[in-house]
Amino acid sequence: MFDGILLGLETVLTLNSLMLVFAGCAAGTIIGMLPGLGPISAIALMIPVTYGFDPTSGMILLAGVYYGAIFGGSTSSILINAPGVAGTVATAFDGYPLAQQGKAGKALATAAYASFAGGTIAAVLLVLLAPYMADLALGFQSPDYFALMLLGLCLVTAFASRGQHLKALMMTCLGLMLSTVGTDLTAGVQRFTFGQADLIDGISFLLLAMATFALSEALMMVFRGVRAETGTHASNHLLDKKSLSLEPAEFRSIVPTVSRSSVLGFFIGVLPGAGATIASFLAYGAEKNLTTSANEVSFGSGSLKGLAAPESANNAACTGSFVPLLTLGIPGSGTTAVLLGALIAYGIQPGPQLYVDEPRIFWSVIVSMYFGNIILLVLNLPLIPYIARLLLIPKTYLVPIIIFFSLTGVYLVSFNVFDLYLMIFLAFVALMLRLGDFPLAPLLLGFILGGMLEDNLIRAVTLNDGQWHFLWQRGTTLTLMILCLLALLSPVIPKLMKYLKTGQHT
Amino acid sequence: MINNVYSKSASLALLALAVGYGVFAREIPLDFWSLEEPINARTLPYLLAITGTILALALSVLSFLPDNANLPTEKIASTQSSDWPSLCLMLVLMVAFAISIELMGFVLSSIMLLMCGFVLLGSRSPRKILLIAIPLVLLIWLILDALGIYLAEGTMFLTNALEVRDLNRV
Repeated sequence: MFDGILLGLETVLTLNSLMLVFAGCAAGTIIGMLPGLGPISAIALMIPVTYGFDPTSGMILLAGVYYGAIFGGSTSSILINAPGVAGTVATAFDGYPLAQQGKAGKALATAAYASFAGGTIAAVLLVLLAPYMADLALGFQSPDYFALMLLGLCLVTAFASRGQHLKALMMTCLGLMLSTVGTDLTAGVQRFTFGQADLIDGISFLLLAMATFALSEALMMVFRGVRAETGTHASNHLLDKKSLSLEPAEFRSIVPTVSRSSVLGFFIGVLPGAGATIASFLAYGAEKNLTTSANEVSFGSGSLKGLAAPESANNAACTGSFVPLLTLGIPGSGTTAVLLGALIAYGIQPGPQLYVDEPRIFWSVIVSMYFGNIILLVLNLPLIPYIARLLLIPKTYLVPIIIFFSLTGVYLVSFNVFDLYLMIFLAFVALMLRLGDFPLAPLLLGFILGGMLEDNLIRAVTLNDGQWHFLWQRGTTLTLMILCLLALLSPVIPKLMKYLKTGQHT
Repeated sequence: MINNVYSKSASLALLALAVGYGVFAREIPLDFWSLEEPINARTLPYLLAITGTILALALSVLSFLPDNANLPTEKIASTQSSDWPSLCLMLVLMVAFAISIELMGFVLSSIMLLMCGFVLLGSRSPRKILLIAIPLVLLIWLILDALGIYLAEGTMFLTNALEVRDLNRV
C-alpha cells in the first residue's frame, strides 16, 4: 500500500498534474454552478479535452471536474434553490433558507469546509479500506439493494415537518409513479406514454429537478409578487463581513456532524447504485434525528448542521464511488459510469486487474483527491464574497434569468421542444403542490430511486422463484426492512408513547 | 393538516391521478409469458396505484377536517399575496419561448424571453433591459459555440434556396 501511495505522490506532485487538478476543480465548479449542468454534463464536456492526455493525466483532470462540479452544484442549490444534480438536493433544504436570511456567505463557507472535510476523510478511508470495501460491496445482493432503496424512501418522514408526513409519503408515491413513465427495461413494453414518442425514454431527471425546484421557485417568486421588491432581502447582510465567515462556536458545532456524515457518505458511496444522492439524504435524516437541543435552529429553516451533513456526505460518497469503479470496474453512479467510459476510451480495461496492471492510474487518482480537496477549498473560499453577491441582483432581473437558465439547461440536453412544454407543465403542477404545502424533495427522491427499486425488486423476486420471502431471508435485508418499518412509524411512535403514558396516569 | 383551498384541491387532484394511474396501469401491454410471471411490468404500477389512492384518500378526508390549531400558520398560502395575472403571463412567455426557439433560433428567442420577463416583472429601464439581456445571451451562445454544442439557428432565417428546398423535402 505504501509503495502505491509513493507512486501516486510521485505522479501527482508534478507541476503538470497539479495544474490539471486545479483546472479540473475550477472548470467543474464553474460548470456545476450553472443550473442544469451537473457533474455528468461537466465530465462529458471535458472528456474530448483529455483525449490528447495520457490516461493518468486524463483521469486526474476528470476526477477534479467531478468533485468541483459537486461543489459548484451546491452553490446554485444554496443561492437560487436550483440543484443541478440529485446529490445536492438535500443541500438546498437548509442552504437556501440560510441564503434567504442573508447568510449566503456563511452557507457557502460551511459548504466549502464540509466538502473539504468530507472529501479528505473519504480519501483517507479509500486508501485504507478500498480492498475490503470492494469485498463488502460484492456481497450485497438484489434483495439488500431493494431494501436499501426502500429505506431511503421511508426516510422521507425525516424531511417532513409536523403534519406533513402523509403528504411526504404521497409525494414519494407520485415520484415513483413518474419514474414508471417510458419503456419498461425488463419487458420492453411502453408504460403511460399515451402514444407520445417523446415519452418513450421516460422523463429525464434533469427536467423534473429543474421543473420542481428552479422553475417552480422562480414561478413562486412571480406569484408572490416580485414587483414590490427592488432587491433581495439578503442584500444588506451580504455587505456585512461577519456574514461571510463562520464563528468559532459555529465551526465547532458542525465538526461532529461533518465527521459522522463523511464516514456515512463514504460507505454509502461505495455501494454501486447508491451514490451521493442517498448518502446526502441519509446523512441529513440521521443528523435531524440526532439533533435534540431545543436551542438549535430547526432543520429546514437554515441549520448549519443541516447544510454540513449532506455536503460532507455527498463529497465523501463521490470519493467512495471510486471504490467499485477502480477495484471492480462497476460504476457506482451515473457520473462514474461516464468515467468508466472515459477509461475504456483511453484503452484501459477497468476491473479488478486495474489495481494490479495499472497501479499508477489507481494510486494517482486517489492521491490527487487529497490535493484536489485542498485546491477546491483554496479556490473557493476567497471567491465566496463574490459568488454570494449574485443575490444582490434584483429579483426583477434574477427571476427571468433563472427561468432562462432552467429552460436552456433542459433544452441543451435533449434539443427537444416537447421537453420544454413538459417542464413548464410540471413546474406549474409543482407550484400548485407547493401552495398546498406538499414537500417536493420526496417526489424527486422517489423518481430517482424508482427505476433502481423496480429493477432490484424484479431481480429479487425472479431469483427467488416468485416468492417474497427474500424480504426476511437474509440478515442484511431483514435489518434494512426493520429500519424501514421504524422509519415509517417514527411520526406515530412519540404520539403512541405519549398516549400510553397519559393513559397510565389516568 | 393545513386546511387551505390549495391543499384540498391538490389532495383531490392527486386522488383522481392515483385512480387514473391505476386504470391506465391495466392497459400496459403484456405478452402471454409475462402474464404468467409472478412479477411483471404491471406489478409496481398496481402497488403504486393502491398506495397512492389510499394516501390521497386519507389526505382528502383530512384536508376537509377543521383546522388544527397547533400547526404553523405562516405556511397557510391563502393569507399571502398572490399575483395570478403575472404568473399566467410568465407561463405564456415560457410557452412562447418554447415555440419560438426553433423558429427564431436560440439567440433571438432567449433575448425575447429575458427582455419580456424583465418588463413583466416591473423593470422600466430600457438601458438595463438591453444591457443585461443581450450580453448575457451572447455570452452563453459564445461559450456553447466554443464547446461545440449545437444551437437552433431558427428556421425562419434559412433564406438560402437550397436550405429551404432541403427543408421542404424533409
